[in-house]
This record gives sequence, C-alpha cells and structure tokens, in this order.
Amino acid sequence: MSLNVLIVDDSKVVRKIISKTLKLTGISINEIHDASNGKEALEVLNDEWIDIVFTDINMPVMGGVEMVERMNKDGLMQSVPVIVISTEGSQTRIEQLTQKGVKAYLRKPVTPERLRDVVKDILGLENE
Amino acid sequence: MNDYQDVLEETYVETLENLAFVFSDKIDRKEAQEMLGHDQLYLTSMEFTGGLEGALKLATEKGLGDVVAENMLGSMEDENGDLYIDSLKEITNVICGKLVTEIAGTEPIVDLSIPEVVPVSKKECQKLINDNNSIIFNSEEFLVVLNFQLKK
Repeated sequence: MSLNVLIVDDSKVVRKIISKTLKLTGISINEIHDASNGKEALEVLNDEWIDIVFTDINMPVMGGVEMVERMNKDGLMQSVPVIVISTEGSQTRIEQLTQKGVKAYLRKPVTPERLRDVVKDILGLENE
Repeated sequence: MNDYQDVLEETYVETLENLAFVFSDKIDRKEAQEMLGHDQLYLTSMEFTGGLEGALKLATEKGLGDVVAENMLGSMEDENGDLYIDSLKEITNVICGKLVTEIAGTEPIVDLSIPEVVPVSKKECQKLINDNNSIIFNSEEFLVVLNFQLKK
C-alpha cells in the first residue's frame, strides 16, 4: 500500500519537517499534499484521495479542531484517519480530540520511529 | 523577575538543542548590549489564555531564524527567502507549549495564540533586555531575549 498523505500546518517549515520525517519512516508514500489551514485541507480532501491526515491544532482561518468537526459531517471524509501533531500538552485537550475521532496525538518534535509506529498501527500496515 | 526563570531557561535551551542543534549560553545585560546591532532584529510574540494566562516574547536576529531553518530541514530550501520567519514562529510555539505544560500541568486546557513576527528596532530590543521578566542568551553568536509574563 502506497499512501496519499495530507499535512496541515500554517508553518511551511513544519510541513517540510513532517514531510521529511515521513520519508524517513520507511513507509511507502505515493503523494504528499499540504495545506496551511483547515479550510485549505478540506478543499484538498474534496479533490484528492487521501489515506491519512496530519494536522496542527492552532492555525489561522480554520484550526484543526474545526476541520475534524467538519470532516465528521462528511460521509467520505469522516473515514479518513487524522493524527494531530502539536506543541500542546493538555491531557484534557487530547481526550476531547479523541472523542471527536482523532486517532492519535503526537507532541512535537516527532521522531520517524514514533511516526512509523503510529501510522502502521492506525492503518494496520503491519499485517500486510 | 518572576518565579519561572529557571523553567524558561531550561525549556529554551532544550528546545533549541533538540529542535535545531543550536546551543545557548545565558548572558547578562552588559554582554547583550555588546551583541546588539549586528543584524536585523525580530520580535515573535504569543499569548496564552484559559488555564494559564500570559504572554511569551522572543526577540532575536534574522540570522538565528536562518540557522534554525537550515538545521531543522537539513538543508537550506528557502525558495521565497522567508523560512526564517516560520522558524522563529515555530521555536516560540514549541517553547510556549512546553512552558505552559510545565507550569500549569496536563489537566487544564491552555489556548495558545498564533505566533506573530515583526521587525523591531535596537531601542525596542534594549527595552526588552532591561525588563525584569527577560532572560538573555547567546545562541551560536546570535542574541536572544526571552520575556515571559503571567497574568494569573
């Protein structure tokens, strides 16, 4: 399985870092799309087949939480797994995000090993 | 000077080392004055609200943003010449996120604002250096002034 990935973060540097980290995981990647906020991400999700989304919470125009809420209201988008990558460390926030359907929460900085384990676990890639 | 200077110092030093392989030494105001004026200065500001309220400011030179971008990405891929701004935002964001968790713990929700970067004059930077809530670093020969204030 070769993945189509969407990285959502308002920082170009962070998008590049996550992209590089993903390439270091050894997971087969087909295409990496990116968006600088939740609104742009929803447009990408509308237009492209995406297997997994990595998103920040705190972004201008539309943050990660609102993006997940909107994805949940869409029949096709609600099945796309979302992983939050953020600096915030509130356990209460993590529980809220999990209740909204977020599959995992990773605190920056993220290592390739951690990213690989989480992606494989969520997509069941180990069993292929 | 507030009670969180040690946490701030530790968080800053660790973040820069882990995120960008940039090493830092704490310096005094006199040393800071001597380092002023070598490069364009930028001020990155963030506020936090909710379980903990306050603000974090980071004033530094453009060159530090360039070094951080280069080290984080492993190469200089700066098509538009603006990655230093994103880098300054990101290090401030990570420092702020770690700092509020260190102080408030993992229970309360603390909302972080989106970091803003603006150019600042030498005079404005001097004012920040002289503020009692500031601590100052020499990070790979770049001046860094960190200012942390809590409202509650």
